[in-house]
Amino acid sequence: MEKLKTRPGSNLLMRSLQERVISLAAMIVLVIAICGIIWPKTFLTVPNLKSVLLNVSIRSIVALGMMNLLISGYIDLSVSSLLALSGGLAAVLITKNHFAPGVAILISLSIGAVVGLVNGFMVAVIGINPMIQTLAMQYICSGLCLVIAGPIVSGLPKGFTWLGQRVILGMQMPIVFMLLLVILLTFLNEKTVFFRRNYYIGGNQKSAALSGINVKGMIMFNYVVTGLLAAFAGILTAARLGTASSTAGTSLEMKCICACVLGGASMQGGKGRVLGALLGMVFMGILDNIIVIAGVPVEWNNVVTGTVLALAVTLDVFLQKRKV
Amino acid sequence: MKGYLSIQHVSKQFPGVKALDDVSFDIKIGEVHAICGENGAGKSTLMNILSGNYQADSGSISYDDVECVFHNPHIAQNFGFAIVHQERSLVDSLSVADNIFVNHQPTVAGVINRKEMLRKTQALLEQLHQEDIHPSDIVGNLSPAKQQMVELCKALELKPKVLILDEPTATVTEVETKILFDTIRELKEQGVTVVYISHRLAEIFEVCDRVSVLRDGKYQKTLEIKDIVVDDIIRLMVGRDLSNERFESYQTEEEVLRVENLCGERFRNISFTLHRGEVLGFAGLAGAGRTEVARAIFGADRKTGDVYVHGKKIKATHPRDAIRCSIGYLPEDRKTDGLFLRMTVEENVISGNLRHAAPHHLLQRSIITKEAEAAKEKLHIATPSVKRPTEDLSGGNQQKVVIGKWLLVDSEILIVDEPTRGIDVGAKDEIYRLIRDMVSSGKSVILISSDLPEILRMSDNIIVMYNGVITGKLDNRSGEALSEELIMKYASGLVSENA
Repeated sequence: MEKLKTRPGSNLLMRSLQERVISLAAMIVLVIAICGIIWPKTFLTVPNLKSVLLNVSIRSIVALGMMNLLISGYIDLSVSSLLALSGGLAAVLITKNHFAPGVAILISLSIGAVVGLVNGFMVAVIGINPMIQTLAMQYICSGLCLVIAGPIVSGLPKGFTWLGQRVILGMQMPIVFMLLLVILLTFLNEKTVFFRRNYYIGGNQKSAALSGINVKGMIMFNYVVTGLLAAFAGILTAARLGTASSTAGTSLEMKCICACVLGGASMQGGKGRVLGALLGMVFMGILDNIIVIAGVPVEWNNVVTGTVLALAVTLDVFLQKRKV
Repeated sequence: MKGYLSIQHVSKQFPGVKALDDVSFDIKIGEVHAICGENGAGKSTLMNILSGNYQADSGSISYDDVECVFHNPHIAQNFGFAIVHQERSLVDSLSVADNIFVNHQPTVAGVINRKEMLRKTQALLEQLHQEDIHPSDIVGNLSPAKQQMVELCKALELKPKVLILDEPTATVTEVETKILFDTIRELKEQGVTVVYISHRLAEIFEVCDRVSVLRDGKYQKTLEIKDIVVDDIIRLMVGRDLSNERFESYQTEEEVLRVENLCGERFRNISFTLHRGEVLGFAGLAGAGRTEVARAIFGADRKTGDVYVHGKKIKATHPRDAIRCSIGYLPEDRKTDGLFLRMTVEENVISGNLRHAAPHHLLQRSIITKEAEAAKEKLHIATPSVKRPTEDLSGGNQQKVVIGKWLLVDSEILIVDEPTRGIDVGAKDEIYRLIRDMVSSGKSVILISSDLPEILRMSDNIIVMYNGVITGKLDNRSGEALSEELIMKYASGLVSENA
């Protein structure tokens, strides 16, 4: 009487293809193996792979926040200029106003939280389209960065730069922070009721509200988390370079969205895992690295990244069709 | 065959299910022909084939001896087959006229002739007595009932030889239904063939000449309407007789919910009391304000007035407040308001009560799966695995998932809004049994339904609403059954006991 559509291919291969974190990890291992055979002396070395990881570590921190938002069906385009603003602000406070680095960092992080709160309030309570609101915020932050800090602030003291430069257990600080945050957020997302609600909000916002979930509150919270992570990434960037630049993080928001989608997020929400954001970033970082090592002009970077993204989502469409 | 729209040996296979299995029957040109069957019987698939949306795997369709091969809907339209789909096909942000002339706007030298388009739209609207709709109105601002009339205009504008109507009355009120039936009769006089699909069997008897029944993708029989009664159709649809007896009443005198003078945007002065073990039916026409009352009690909409649970006044400004006071709500539109369609069955079952799966503040997958398996078992949810996306399930099973979710929340008071809409007869029976199980274990249920036999069969007491106010409160526990006619009188505002 009651009929069911059955789905073929529920075998292991299909299942792991549909679980993006697994397939992407397999893809990364495969690419490393192949390139390791082709360029054993330049690509497959510990220093090279560590530099890849260092390059993507700060971006990945921002991508974690973006992933959280994408899961709940929202987006934040302001992360890139917020990163520049928070780095610039901390640098100015330290070099010009002679604040203690700790205080400057706290102020910078608060600015990140406030920017996130404003974004969340405008989107969730007032009802502005998330793209438009965060685009506006992107302009505001990049403007504020120039007003407050100007194009560049250099001469940051050791008391600040150790955050980005010290090495612990053979890993630079940004990598350490990234790993800690990935572990923390993965745990929160997979294991706590509070963060799990994001999947329901992304799945169907109306149903979520009628299930008793405080949708508006959660969305504001997510924007605050994203703002905090972007601000922290800004501080790390300035600390690592010893300089705060107003062009830091340019077009980072698109890189983050790209990494999250590669890592299994859906623009409709309800899908994705924290680890996916990291793997997406790592994969993109490896592609960039290969282009350099292969001696291809770096101008080809974006062509390759774009093509890979398009291929990944095309694959998704076909996998979805198999389900019907 | 000459003079017939003839469907011959049509089969259609979807992955894992034979939607149509060697279906053959003939529809007389110029008649109104009903097609009946449970959900999943293959009606919609057949209509999609007739309208060129799907292609049959085998078999053929001919109209008056002309073979019809429709590779896409456009060819079908040009041939004269128009369909009003169950799902809306209108674009909210565009005007009525733009929607009706979606792909064939009248032009002068290749430029759209707006004046002509508006004039033609006006004429169509007048034909359907929809003078209050203006051709340049934005569709999104119209009520669902009016939108349905625009859908009908859109199909009529194609001047079809065959008009297919798939559940055309699901969202409209009595007024539009009457206009629709008048229009069908006019079309019939003009020689148009109408293929009519509806779950509301009474309508079929009002407007159709013959009926064909499908079950599990197979053709059963074609009958002359004038020779049969409703039960004949039901028997063919489900393959057995359904019990129609009333259930035993479990109502006690203990008050669990009292509502006093509730007023909202689309209702006013609503007062009633719900007792432990009671099923309180809310009858009325679409748009009478019943759903709005339920949403207000549940804290989803703004309101004034007082709500008491166990004699204590509660203040619910968000659904989570109401849930804390042990009130649950199964929404009317399960797809948009009740389910997370792309998520799995188990994620849906646990969605109302995530804490339950986190005994030490940490989620445990095993508890989620165990609870979902228990719900699957108890509610007979037909799915090979609770890890399937909910969108793969049929309507009846999706509804059971929503019920499973609220059973797990374990609210004392459950408001169920149109729990059997769009669900086939067999699954309906099971949902009735579940509701009776709940009240027998001391819970209380408010049942909102537009299906009068359902209200009469399930409720201990009945409240009838019309135009935002309560017009009648009826006791349904006495031996003699209340009649549908009596409820209709209250529901259409002809009589009212509460001044």
